Amino acid sequence: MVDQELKDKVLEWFEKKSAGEKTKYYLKDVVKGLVADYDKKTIHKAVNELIFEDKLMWFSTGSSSMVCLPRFHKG
Amino acid sequence: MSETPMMDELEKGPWPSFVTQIKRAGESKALMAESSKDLLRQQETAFTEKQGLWKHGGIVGVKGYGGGVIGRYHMRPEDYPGLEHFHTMRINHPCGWFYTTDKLREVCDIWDKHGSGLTNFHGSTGDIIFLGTNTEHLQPIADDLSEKGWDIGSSGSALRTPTGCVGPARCEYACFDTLDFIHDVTNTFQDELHRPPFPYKTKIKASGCCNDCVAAMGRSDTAVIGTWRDELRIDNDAVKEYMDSGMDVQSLVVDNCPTDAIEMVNGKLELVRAEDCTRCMHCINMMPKAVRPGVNKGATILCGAKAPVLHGAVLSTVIIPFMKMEPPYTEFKEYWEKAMDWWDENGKVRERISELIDRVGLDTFLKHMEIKPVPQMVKTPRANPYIFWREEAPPGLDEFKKYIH
Repeated sequence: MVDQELKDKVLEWFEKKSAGEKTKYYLKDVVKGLVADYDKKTIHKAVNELIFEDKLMWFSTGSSSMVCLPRFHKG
Repeated sequence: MSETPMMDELEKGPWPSFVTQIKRAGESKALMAESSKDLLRQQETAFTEKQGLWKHGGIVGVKGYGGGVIGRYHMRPEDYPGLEHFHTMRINHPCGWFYTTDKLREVCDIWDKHGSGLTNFHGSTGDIIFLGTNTEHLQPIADDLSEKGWDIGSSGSALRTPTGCVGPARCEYACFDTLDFIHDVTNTFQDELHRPPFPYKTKIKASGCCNDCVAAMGRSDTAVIGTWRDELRIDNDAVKEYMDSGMDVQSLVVDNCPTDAIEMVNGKLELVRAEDCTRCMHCINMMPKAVRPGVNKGATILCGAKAPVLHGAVLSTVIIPFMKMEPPYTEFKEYWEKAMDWWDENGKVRERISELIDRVGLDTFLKHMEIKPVPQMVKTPRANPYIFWREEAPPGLDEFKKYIH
């Protein structure tokens, strides 16, 4: 389990970044945004846990994958 | 007159026709009655307008999975209501594509229950492909498959479903157990398979020998190719049998050895220059009863092949000329994780590892991997030297440079 503080930070990052036109982000972008305080694998884990909790969603073009807030997913 | 004359043309001739199969699916499955007609009509339109009418991407739709479902939506759902959603699913195939009829029936029953019934056995990565289902069926398909021991395959920026040749199950050339290796790797890297962590896709393929029946060297980022470290084993009694049966061993085998490593000496086939043998497999393929791989077997690890549509194929480069391939494959797993870490750290989005190596140089990759350059890494002599001069280059470099024009 990843600590709640990091998960909150990930969600906060998505909320902030999704305020503009772009709403879907590569995992690499998320890592870049938070890597100063956490290591890459922990950030990946936090994103995956948030996906399990339905607070984030995968978006796949078929060839590459992105993550977004559920309200921006037009599944 | 038929609504789809061009599609009907594709039913003619002695070969199997996907048009016939789609029509048959429409007649036998209520779920496909409308979709099958729409599929053929939309393909006819695509042929007429000379453009595809599918939008793809978006949905994943199975809890906990970041891939395995490729969303397909029609650009004109109002004209083709049966195709509004027509998603593709990838299912992880059994190693070597060995099925029992019971398991095949099981997977087809699940697909008949939830989808179009149209399949592709198999996609180019090796997965079973389910063609065409609605969004609401995605999770139930995954649940039913999981209950029976199946798993979804991979898509997106992930480790794609690993694939290997039939290996020792059917082939005496196999230098390691490709089936066990692929099964082990698939289980070990479940996270990398189902929760896309990388800048782009990456593939692992394994062939038991240098014949490379799964074309790993041409289409996988990490190719594991069976080889041997010692010498070819030659049975001259069997060679004689080939000669007695009329085979011209000199011209068909010896003269075709690319490095002249074998010769006929006093009527016997001999490996006269063992160090020159490149494991091309020609002599073994020509005389399987007489020539066999050595006994010290393992694999060569290559990196960086890809077969993209737009930019042309890239063949892989040897990174580790010989590695023992025995369970639990720790050395390979450590190599792969280290290589992927470097790629993940340095690769741009949608950049495969070979493109990254091209961009920063093989030297940089080798330095990170703590692997010394060896001659086997040269793909094209003179064109891709693998030694790079650094600032702390050997003494005499300045003098040497004077003579380079």
